[in-house]
Amino acid sequence: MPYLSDDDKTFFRENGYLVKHDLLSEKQLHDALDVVWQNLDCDRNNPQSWIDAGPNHPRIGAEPAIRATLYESPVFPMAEELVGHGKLSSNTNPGPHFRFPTGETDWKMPTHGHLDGYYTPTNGVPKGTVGRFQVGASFYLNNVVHKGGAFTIWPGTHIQAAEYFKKHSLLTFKGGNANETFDMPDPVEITGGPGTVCFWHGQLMHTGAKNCAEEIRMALITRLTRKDNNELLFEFPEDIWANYDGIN
Amino acid sequence: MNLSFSTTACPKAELPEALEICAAAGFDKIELFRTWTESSPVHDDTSVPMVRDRLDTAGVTLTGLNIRNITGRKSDSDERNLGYNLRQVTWDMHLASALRLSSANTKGGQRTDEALEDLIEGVNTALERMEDFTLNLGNHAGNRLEGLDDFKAIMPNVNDRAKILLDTGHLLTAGEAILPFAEAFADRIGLVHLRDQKGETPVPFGEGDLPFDDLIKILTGAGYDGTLVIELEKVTWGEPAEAAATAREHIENLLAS
Repeated sequence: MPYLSDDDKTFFRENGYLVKHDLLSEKQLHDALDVVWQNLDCDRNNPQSWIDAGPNHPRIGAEPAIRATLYESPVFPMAEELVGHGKLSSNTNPGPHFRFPTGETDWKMPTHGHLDGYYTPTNGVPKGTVGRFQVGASFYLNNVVHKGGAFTIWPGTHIQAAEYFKKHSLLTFKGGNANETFDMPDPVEITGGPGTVCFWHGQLMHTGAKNCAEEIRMALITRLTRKDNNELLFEFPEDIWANYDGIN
Repeated sequence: MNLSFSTTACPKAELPEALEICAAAGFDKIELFRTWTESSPVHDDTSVPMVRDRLDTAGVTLTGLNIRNITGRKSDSDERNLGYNLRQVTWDMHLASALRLSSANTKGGQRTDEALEDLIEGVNTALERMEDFTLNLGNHAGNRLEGLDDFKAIMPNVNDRAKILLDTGHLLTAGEAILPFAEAFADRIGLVHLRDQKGETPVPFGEGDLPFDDLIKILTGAGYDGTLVIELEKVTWGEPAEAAATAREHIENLLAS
């Protein structure tokens, strides 16, 4: 029995993202949160200590409780339903991407996003390379509300990217900044409770919003690649879904 | 042996113009650079499928791609970090593969023991990551791979799929004798870049210090049947197409004799 309906796939195809709720069990959330809190520089029981705390990216992706959120939940099978059964590599860990409360109230919807996989001086991507992947999955371990540092996407920009890269180098955008090149639609803030997952196309413009709420935005993000991704690094076929067996 | 045009003759030409120059000079093969020339396959206004289409439309075969060097260092901070550098190099190798090549040309880093270690480990790791792919290790004046002794230190320690790119121009610049170099590694030469020079100055083929006849005899004797890249640089004695055509004819005459 598939997890995704035809309507789900159509929505992903047209918008470049798809949100599903309640994909993680209570035990998976409980175990993952225990690992998370053991690796934060703040007090789980003292919200005041969460303001501007850290780290934003604790190195816990390989912990069994964190990996379980991807591989022992419906998240990975759902991504496979988009890209094709048995087509995705399973050697990727979910990476924590936390946004701590700022303690501020001056919130605005983000105006600029980025494409992933591009070099910046601090993100570990080697200069002069671009990493590509087919599907990203951003999932929340806690409740992420409006103005709470939500994962934010620009629907449909995956189609603009696919068209653009047919005639331009992948390296064109410094830091993945395509804001001045793409016709940017209104952004969508992805909110939801624990276990909410946003699946997104690997070339969808996105960002994380400022966190003016009281909770830490506890998101895990994973970037899933096809097993033959190295052969597809530079390819932009006419049919942008040519390598998404579940959609094509 | 087959002859290939190098875009060193027209570094400012973007790919469509470089292909026109290549064809006007009578070549049906070309070698490109990942960096340094405007005909790079990662030029902002070019996608890899466009590069393939342009080559096909021009009837020109790509014979090689010069990629980034295995320096063992980060390119933005110069910190020693072989893993980072190898991710750049293997990305370039995948770029070459997407351009229908099964080899790429690279060099080393600084002239230090550390760079030698990183080069050996880097070559072996890169080739393990990509089966059925060859790296041609080129000599370059001032590089960790400059002359005969450098190659004697590295070649026994690297995968058999690491070959030698014999670059006559850089041997002349470094003051290295070309023939002993060619003789020592004749059976492991994977590619030859031909440039004639007077000292460090490029000159028309046949007017400089490059012993063409003897070099080609050594290559022929070793059974080399690969590519000779006509690598003109800083051409001051004519238009690039004209100079490249003259150089091509010079080599064709030698091969025919």
